[in-house]
Amino acid sequence: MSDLRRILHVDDDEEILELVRLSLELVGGFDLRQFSSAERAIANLGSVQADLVLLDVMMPGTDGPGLLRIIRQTPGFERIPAVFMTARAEASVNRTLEGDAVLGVVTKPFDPMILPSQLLRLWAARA
Amino acid sequence: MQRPGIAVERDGPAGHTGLRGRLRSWVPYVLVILLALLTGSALERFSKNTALKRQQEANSDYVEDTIARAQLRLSHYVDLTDSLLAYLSLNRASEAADFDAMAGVVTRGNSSIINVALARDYVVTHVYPLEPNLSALGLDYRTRPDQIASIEKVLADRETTVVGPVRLVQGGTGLIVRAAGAGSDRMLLSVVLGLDPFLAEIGLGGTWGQSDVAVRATINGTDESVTIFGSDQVWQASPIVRSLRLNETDVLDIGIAPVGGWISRSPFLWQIGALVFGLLTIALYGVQFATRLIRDRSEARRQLVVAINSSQDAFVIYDREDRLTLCNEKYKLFYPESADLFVPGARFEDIIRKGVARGQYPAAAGREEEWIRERLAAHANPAEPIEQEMPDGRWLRVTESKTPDGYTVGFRVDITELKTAILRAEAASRARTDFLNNISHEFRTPLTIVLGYIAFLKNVRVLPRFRDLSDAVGEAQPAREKLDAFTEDIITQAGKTDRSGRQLMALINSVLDWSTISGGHVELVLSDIDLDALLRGLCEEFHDAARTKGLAFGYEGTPCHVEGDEVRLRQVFMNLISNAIKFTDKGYVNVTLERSDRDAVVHVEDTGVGIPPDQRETVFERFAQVDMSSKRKYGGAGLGLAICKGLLDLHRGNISLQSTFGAGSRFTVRLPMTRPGKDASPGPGSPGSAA
Repeated sequence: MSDLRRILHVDDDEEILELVRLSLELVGGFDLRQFSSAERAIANLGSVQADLVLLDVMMPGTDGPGLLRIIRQTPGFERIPAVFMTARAEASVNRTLEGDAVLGVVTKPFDPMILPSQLLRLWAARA
Repeated sequence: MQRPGIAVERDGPAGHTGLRGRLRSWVPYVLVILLALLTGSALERFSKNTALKRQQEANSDYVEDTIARAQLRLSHYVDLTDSLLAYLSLNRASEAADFDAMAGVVTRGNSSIINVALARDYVVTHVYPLEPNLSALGLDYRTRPDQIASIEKVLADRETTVVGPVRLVQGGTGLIVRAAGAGSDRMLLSVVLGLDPFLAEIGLGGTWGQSDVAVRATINGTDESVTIFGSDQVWQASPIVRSLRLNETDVLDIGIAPVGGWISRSPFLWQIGALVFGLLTIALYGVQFATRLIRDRSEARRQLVVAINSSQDAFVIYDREDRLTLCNEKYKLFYPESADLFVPGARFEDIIRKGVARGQYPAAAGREEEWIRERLAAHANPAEPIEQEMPDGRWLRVTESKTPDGYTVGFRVDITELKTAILRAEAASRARTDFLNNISHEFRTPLTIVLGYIAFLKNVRVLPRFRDLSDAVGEAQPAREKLDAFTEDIITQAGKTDRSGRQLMALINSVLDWSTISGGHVELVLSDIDLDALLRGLCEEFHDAARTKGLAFGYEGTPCHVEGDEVRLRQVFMNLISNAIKFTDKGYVNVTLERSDRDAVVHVEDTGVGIPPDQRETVFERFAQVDMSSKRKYGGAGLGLAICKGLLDLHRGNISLQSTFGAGSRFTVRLPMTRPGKDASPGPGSPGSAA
């Protein structure tokens, strides 16, 4: 089982991007690549070579689940682990996000001090 | 306004059933009475005829028997006469003495014989007994024109003959047996029988039983007849008459007729009357009963028809062959496109198929055959009511059921309003759910930023720029001291802000949760849950919080699975555990999971403030907190336990409470196990305690 190093993060909210950057780079020490839209993320998917994708669910245009589908259709990324981030705590929402190699769902608001260890735990628990 | 095709009849005007109806209702009674009278009369006639026949037969038998006896006796007298004559012819010499002797022998034992006379050449020469018949001695028959013809005939034919009745010279009436001798002296022997003794001898009296008997004589072939015995009245009373022919010209008629006439009425008149009356009474009662039954039934049918036609709902009946029997006006109104198809005898399938072709059933559009198949199947085996949308947007509820004799009864109820209300309510519910989700999202996004940055302020020392500043300040005093003091202030204030922010977050979550649960908008995502693992994980998360408050915190579990929504159950136990920690200042908080018969039982026990007895029920109601004044100390909206209870109800579980005020509380949650009896041994990798 390889270590979790590089994370690809997509969120349309600049403030969230910044907060996650502080959390994962500063606190977690991960190699983080961030994009503010699904389209940009797809364009740079090949060059990033992330270990895990962290995707906001609700985004204008292509949303998180849609983006994951596109990523999974890209050769080489069929099995890339994914974690969703959502402000909706509804169980039914969470359920729609379950799927192949989806490690879990992080609910907003998240604690930036704990987020890195949360991701590491999900990473460690992956099948 | 009876239209063709409406199978339901309608009532005539109210007065229609008046006089004519009343008259008509009498008809059966009159018929029954007539029938009874006819039957009675026929019975009476039959009975009378039978009795009459028997009476006639008895009378006739009597007369015939009498005649037979008379013939027998007469033939006896003829023989007697012949014998005497033969004797006298042979003993001509001693005639005088012999005659008396032989006549005496003959007369003895034959009491009907009045006298015996012997004549020669028409003149009576001997007579016996002599004394009473002296007047007859010497009688010349030629002086008796009434007798001479018959005498001449006997003499000519030499045939013994009975003649009479004859008025006798001696007085009275008699029958005379005459026999002629063979000689040239015209010997003629006459044996005279008294009529009355003769009649008595053959058993003929004036009456027989209830009948009068009479005898009349027709003499010398004349039409005239004379009653010689009995009453003349007999011949006027339609007698039975039998004739006794004495010779070629003399006839005796014996007539018999009942006293008071022949039977003209049945002897059982009273019995027949009583029988007819009895039967008539029963029949009339029967007619009345039947009439009432018919009237009741027709009234019931009329009421049914009126009721069916007055109904706001459509009604239809199909027979065993699934052909329309009857429907009401409303049924045609509900299906305007198909209305002309609703004629008695129309097959249900034809009605449906044509209706589909005409667009009567919008739901069938595009999948006609499939829809028809489903509709026919539902019709053939009616179960739950189905709903149909009409082309004009109305909705009908179709309720069909089979009668015991195989008919299909259908109701159509216009449920447009109900349906609209339901659709509107569903839309409202969806809008509310969407709104709650959006509100939730809109609250959480800024809170994420607020709480996120506050987290960094609380841990301000991890920020690179703080490290730059700290490095720049170095250890120089008083700058170092002031920076440290400032940093602490920031951390303290950030901490307070963080707590308030989280409290705000928790409040928002509670309110949204409660709103969702109380509105019935929670959709459980059910799965098989390892409750032991869930609780173990939760307790690990709370471990730090308990330790911070200086509380002992332990978990003890056993393998146990329940079916439920993991997120919601997690929420329930998180709430209970955080409450226990929140309301406990010293002592311990213990969580245990055990298995009862069919339930998973979770205890969350603490040594906190406890709950007074009078509030142990209300504590599960919303906005309830033990002590309003303690609100300030503990905070919260008081919705947590209400939410827990609501969620557990949805899981078919329950929550209960044991508490000693001031000493602690124990909440007990029960959830039905999915696999009772299994999970007996601990699953792999589940240590006993996480404490």
